[in-house]
Amino acid sequence: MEYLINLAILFGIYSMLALSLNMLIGMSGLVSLAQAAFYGIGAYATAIGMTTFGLGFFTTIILGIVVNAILAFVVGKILARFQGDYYAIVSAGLSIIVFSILQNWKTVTHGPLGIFGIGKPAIGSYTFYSNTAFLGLVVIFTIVLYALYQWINHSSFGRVLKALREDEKLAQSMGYKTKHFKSVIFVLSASLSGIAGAFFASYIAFIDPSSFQLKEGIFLFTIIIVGGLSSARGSVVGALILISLPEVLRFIGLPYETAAQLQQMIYGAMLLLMMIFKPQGLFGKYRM
Amino acid sequence: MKKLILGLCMILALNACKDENKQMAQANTKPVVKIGAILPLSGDLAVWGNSEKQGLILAQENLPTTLKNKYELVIEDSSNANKNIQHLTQKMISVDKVDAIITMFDPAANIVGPMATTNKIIHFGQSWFPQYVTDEYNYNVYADMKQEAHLIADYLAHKGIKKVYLFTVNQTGFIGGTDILKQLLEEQKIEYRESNFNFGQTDFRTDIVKAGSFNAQAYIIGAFAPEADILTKQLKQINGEDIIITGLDLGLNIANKSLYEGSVFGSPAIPGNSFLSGYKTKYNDENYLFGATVGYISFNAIVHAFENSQTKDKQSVAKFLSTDNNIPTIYDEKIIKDKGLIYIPSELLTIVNDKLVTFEE
Repeated sequence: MEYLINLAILFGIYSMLALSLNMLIGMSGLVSLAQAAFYGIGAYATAIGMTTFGLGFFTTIILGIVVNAILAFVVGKILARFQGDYYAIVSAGLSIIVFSILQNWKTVTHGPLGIFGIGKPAIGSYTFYSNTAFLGLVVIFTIVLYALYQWINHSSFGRVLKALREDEKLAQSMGYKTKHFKSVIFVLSASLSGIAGAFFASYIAFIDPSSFQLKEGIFLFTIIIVGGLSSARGSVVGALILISLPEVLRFIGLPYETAAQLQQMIYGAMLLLMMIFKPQGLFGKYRM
Repeated sequence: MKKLILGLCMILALNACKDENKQMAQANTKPVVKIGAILPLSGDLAVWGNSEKQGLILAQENLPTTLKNKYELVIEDSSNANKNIQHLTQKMISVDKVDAIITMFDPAANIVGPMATTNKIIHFGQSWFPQYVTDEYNYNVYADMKQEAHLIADYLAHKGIKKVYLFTVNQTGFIGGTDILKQLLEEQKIEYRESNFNFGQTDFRTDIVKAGSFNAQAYIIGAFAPEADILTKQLKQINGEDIIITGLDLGLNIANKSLYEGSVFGSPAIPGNSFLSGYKTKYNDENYLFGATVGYISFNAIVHAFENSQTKDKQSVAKFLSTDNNIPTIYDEKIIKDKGLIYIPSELLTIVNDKLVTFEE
């Protein structure tokens, strides 16, 4: 049971990340690979805030959101000049820069040594020590993010984002300042992924930069592609599949001399088949 | 979709039950001690994870049949991702019901350490900076990085080297080890410059040119194969075959020994013949990596504790381990144990005719 609870926590964290990324890619069509960077900043804000400054978990969440929002605002201004593949490449560059900073700014981040002994969330005298209680908190935040996604999706702001996704020039001709909309959704998406980072840091109690590399951004991108772009449900189901599928493969009784390699091959083949038969993802509303 | 989700959950739940049944069936024979290992068997560090797996399997196969317990191995792949460590540990504790867990490298050890304490389970990590060793449930098996750094600094000073260039991979242990080495170099009045790189880098030529403009007399490599081998090859292509290359923790961690002919390393010592011949017979290969020796020692240390503790109860085994100083060794000298820290001896090694041997002046 504890194992399933742990998996559910991880699934919740990745659902939050997928929802925040799908807001950006799914709604507005801006392909960003920088999500791992903001996820990392959120995690480090919590880790440093709790271990160095003795801040509470929820204060560090706000700290992570603020830091991410400021960074995303600045970077978003630059990114807003780009479209399509160029947007993706520049965002990948941001991910690499943030990773290098986390790796090399040793006085603050401890570099590759990482930060050890990150605490659990607490409200008053109650600390969320048990995994079940921690899962409850993760579920609440995931539901809030899900609701926020749906609210934005059905709002006039969301409709402009979709227009921007379908035809940016047309949206501009209607009088919308598309750069402004791109910038706002980028800031929002980055800030929300910081929340997932905070939960991740507290959950595993130790972080180092290796968890926030570009490949993590690509993993998140895969989640929303498999689940389906522009779909809240797709984000959650995509996270469920990509988190639980490797775990299911652990139980199919492969000989342990070759199990790891075979698991990876089966995992890859299953994703490949899924994309062949469902190229728009399981609940996708549009294809890239 | 609902069916898919339900199916995934059912498979996980059924397997949890299946494993309990298996345990009950085994209860009739010798008591079973399960040793779990969470290793990076895929990803950047797969070569090291697989070397430790080899050591674990070898240790299990070499156990005498007269032991009072039966020892089983449960090995899981972490894919070298921190996010997998926590739930894999929980899987091992609650589904596989392991009695001890072995992990590899600092991040995994740092994540599993506190969980071992909470769940009162024995944990053996392999870490250069074992912050997690705080109680009787956590143990660390590794060479002493400080000792290795001292050996290198003294060797360079003895050779009259005044300028060195360090190439260090961005990895916890190497960064920490290099920091110690840099202090020692300063004490020896040896000037240094440094370049860091990430796992997977294959082109070091820009940094090599930088090292050249610094007029480095020797190069210190803080990395494992394959990066260390690629770097050495490029260093020799640019600067000639006669350059002085040394390395921190490199001796037992290189794949292509002929590249390093004559180089001197601060390294974990070469294990004794019992391990070497056993490894060669089992894997038909003389080129073991250090992970294999750490896995072998960790497994045998756990077996030693379960065999000699009064009961199989984990608390009593942990108590035994915390006070015992007779960890089985595969070295000619005794392994040093300082509370939870188990140090493999270090020495200067060199390569002569493709063979790793102890360096003698």
